[in-house]
Amino acid sequence: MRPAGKGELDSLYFDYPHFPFVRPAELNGDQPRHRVAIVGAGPVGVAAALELARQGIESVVLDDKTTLNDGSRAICLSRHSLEILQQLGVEKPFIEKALGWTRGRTYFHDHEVYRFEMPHSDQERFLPMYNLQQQYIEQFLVDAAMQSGLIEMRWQQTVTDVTQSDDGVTLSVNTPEGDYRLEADYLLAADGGRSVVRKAFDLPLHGEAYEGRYVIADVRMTSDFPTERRAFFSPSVMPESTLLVHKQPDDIWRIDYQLLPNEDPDLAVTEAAIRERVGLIIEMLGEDSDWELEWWSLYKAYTLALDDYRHGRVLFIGDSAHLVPIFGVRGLNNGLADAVNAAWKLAWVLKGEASEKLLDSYSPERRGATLEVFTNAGKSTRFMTPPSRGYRLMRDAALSLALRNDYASNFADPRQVTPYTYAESPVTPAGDAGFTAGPMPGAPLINRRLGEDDFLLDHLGVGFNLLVFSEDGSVTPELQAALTDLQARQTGLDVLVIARHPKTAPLGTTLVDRQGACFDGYDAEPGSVYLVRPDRHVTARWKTLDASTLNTAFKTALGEH
Amino acid sequence: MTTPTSMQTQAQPQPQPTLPFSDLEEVYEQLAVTLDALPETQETLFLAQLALALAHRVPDVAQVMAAIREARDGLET
Ligand SMILES: Cc1cc2nc3c(=O)[nH]c(=O)nc-3n(C[C@H](O)[C@H](O)[C@H](O)COP(=O)(O)OP(=O)(O)OC[C@H]3O[C@@H](n4cnc5c(N)ncnc54)[C@H](O)[C@@H]3O)c2cc1C
Repeated sequence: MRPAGKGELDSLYFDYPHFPFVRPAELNGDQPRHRVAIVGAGPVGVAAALELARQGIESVVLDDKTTLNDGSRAICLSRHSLEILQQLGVEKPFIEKALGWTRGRTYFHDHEVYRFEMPHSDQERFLPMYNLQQQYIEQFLVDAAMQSGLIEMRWQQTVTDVTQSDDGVTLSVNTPEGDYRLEADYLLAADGGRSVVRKAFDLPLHGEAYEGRYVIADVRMTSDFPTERRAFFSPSVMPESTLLVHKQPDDIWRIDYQLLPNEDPDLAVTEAAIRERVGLIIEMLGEDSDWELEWWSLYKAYTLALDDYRHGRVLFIGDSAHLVPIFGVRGLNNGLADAVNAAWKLAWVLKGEASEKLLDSYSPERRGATLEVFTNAGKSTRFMTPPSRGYRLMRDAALSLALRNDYASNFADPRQVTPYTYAESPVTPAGDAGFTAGPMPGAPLINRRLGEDDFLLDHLGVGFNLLVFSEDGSVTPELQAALTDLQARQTGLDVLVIARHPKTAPLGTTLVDRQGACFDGYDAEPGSVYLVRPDRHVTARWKTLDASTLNTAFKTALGEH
Repeated sequence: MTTPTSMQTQAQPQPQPTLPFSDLEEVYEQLAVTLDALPETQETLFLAQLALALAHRVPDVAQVMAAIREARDGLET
């Protein structure tokens, strides 16, 4: 919502693009068979299209809107998401525009009781978290998609129904110039929380709606306060409530505050009510410059998910599959991980490099991630918005003790999003002998610094990657033979040799790890090997590679057990 | 053998083993649920009983006194 007299897209800082309707082939009598249709050009749908394109697969993306979404919405991108964006080749504008941060503060009754610092080191290319309005996130993704010859963006086209058969899906599409049917091999449903695709197949979401409705409001104001997450429990201006403050680019500040159970949400989101509340909060923050109201909205905490994220030839990604509470910033970050997980698997099936069985691993992996979010989100929601007298008393007790006692401040930890490990996945082989550190099978790769502005994750190829650790760049003749054999049968496998003192470069790319940062981080010795999937999660690792098991691991990774 | 006197004059008492945070979280949840099941008027009495029951399980009275001060100081936030 925006102040009276302003249009929905009348922003103080953002120029909304207009995406024209382009008459699709189907309306001119053609009936092309698309490989992948994606419903929804939100951040998740477009990220999936970009990953498909990176894997060489064409897609058509349909969205009912004429522009990007109307407000800042999900503003926190995690390091893991930046690594995904780097994989998609689009991270530059994000880094230039977003505000990175590592710190946060917790206040109770207006006193600071706890400061937290997110894990960070010079081995990382990206900061733990970046704040950026969702319109920018969408714009940078859409800009890249429009540049891609493999992605067709279809704006102002509403999907009204979907059916599927054994060999494809059919979409009914409504446009300003008439209706048509679109045929595709597979469908990615990225059509958000009110998913029409979900309804078309009558698939219910299960879970709970937590207590707690939040007003999220953006103001423009100049302030020197650094980019940190501030959480205020029982602030004097709203003693029963909790509020969060975040800085965004363009001098925009996000103020989220909890509505009390007895507050009427319709009254609370009137412009007068917002102005009054926000004014008091800004005063409490000690800001004395003028401020302008930009945009606001109401947000409810949910933990809801589909029972299965795959329905035949349809994969649900992002909010269409799951709705999660805002604390811990998981909605969009998890959606991006869904997008790349679904997209590489679909691409490998469509390229004939894997059978359809690979798609069976999508739901266990990504729904597993959602369920873990639910566990954490339940805890943080009960902390942020205690559902009962008992929880409120315990919460206040923990916060009171937190000022002087570290053991209690852990309760105030915001439990921010962490990437999920696919340890139980059907495509992660069991067993992990010999390692005491480093990413285990199913976990995402960790970054390591190789030099000035040079990191391990900068060098990954498009498909699977094999990280081969070597003292001088050479590998044993057995490994050499196994790799040659594997590469001959399997396109889409890059070999990265990580060598402390390279002398020879017999195969693949050689990365120089002079400081031994990769060796240490991966608990590796010369002869150690990591097999890594296109989405940078580890399939298997060997302290000393037994070449005969490499093939088996690769088959498991592609769904052939 | 350490005498009680020498213990009191020790500048830095040995750090006692403490409950891991994940267990503390479980306690937090269990207390919240138990409190919710009680009438509000019995809350204080319940918490006072709990304090005594826990203190009984701590063999070192200095630890208990420190916990009382800690909780008292917490009220000043
Ligand atoms: C008002 C609001 C406030 C939010 N605030 C926060 C926040 O503060 N923090 C946070 O972490 N998250 C927030 N979120 C959630 C966050 O925005 C989502 O997690 C994120 O947008 C998910 O991306 P998505 O691509 O899955 O879905 P969406 O962004 O919802 O994109 C879905 C797209 O599909 C299109 N579409 C839908 N149906 C059809 C159809 N039938 N035909 C064609 N196109 C269709 C829509 O127009 C839209 O472009 C908020 C969401 C909302 C709605």
